Amino acid sequence: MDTSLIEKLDKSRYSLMKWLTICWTVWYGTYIAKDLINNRLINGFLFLIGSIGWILFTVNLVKTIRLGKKVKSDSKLKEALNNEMHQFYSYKSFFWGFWIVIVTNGIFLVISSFYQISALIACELTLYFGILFSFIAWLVFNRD
Amino acid sequence: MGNFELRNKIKIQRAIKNITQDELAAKIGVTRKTINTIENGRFVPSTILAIRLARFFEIKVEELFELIEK
Repeated sequence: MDTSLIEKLDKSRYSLMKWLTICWTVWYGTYIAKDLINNRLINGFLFLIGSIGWILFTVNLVKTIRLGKKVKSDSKLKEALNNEMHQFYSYKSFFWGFWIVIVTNGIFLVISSFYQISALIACELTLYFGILFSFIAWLVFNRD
Repeated sequence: MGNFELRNKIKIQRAIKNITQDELAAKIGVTRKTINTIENGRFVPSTILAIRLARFFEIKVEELFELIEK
């Protein structure tokens, strides 16, 4: 098996995940912030930043899917890049994301006893933190 | 695993065979990161991977991995 190809693809995957994390933070973060701020000028600026984040997120997502297809097409590459350690860390990352979703929901539940919270904002923030922490956990577990 | 710690001699065996983590990863069919995390004790490999590593170094699994009670 070509070691340089495995290493190259492994590094590409890590880099793509890093970009997905950054773009998700920017795109969805600004998207939620727009709902919380009532200033046309700031909202326009957030829309611009968010749009760039969304474009970059989409580009990196397509790249990630293409990389996944390339890895799946070769059984040796698939075995090397999707081995037990990577599977274990992926499950662990989902586990962290799941707990963040539960904790975020719990916090909103407590806050809702004292203040009225918009259901839309609560759902958006839960989704935002759940996915963000899954990405971050994946990056931390798979660091070199 | 609670009161147990799994130590390994992969680094020593690599030195004996004079191979890098990269080369070992290629022979076993995993990424270099996998070898690195096992070697540093950050990841406990499955029985299958442990046997494959031991077979590669031509030693017993118990010689490559040692279970220490803390």
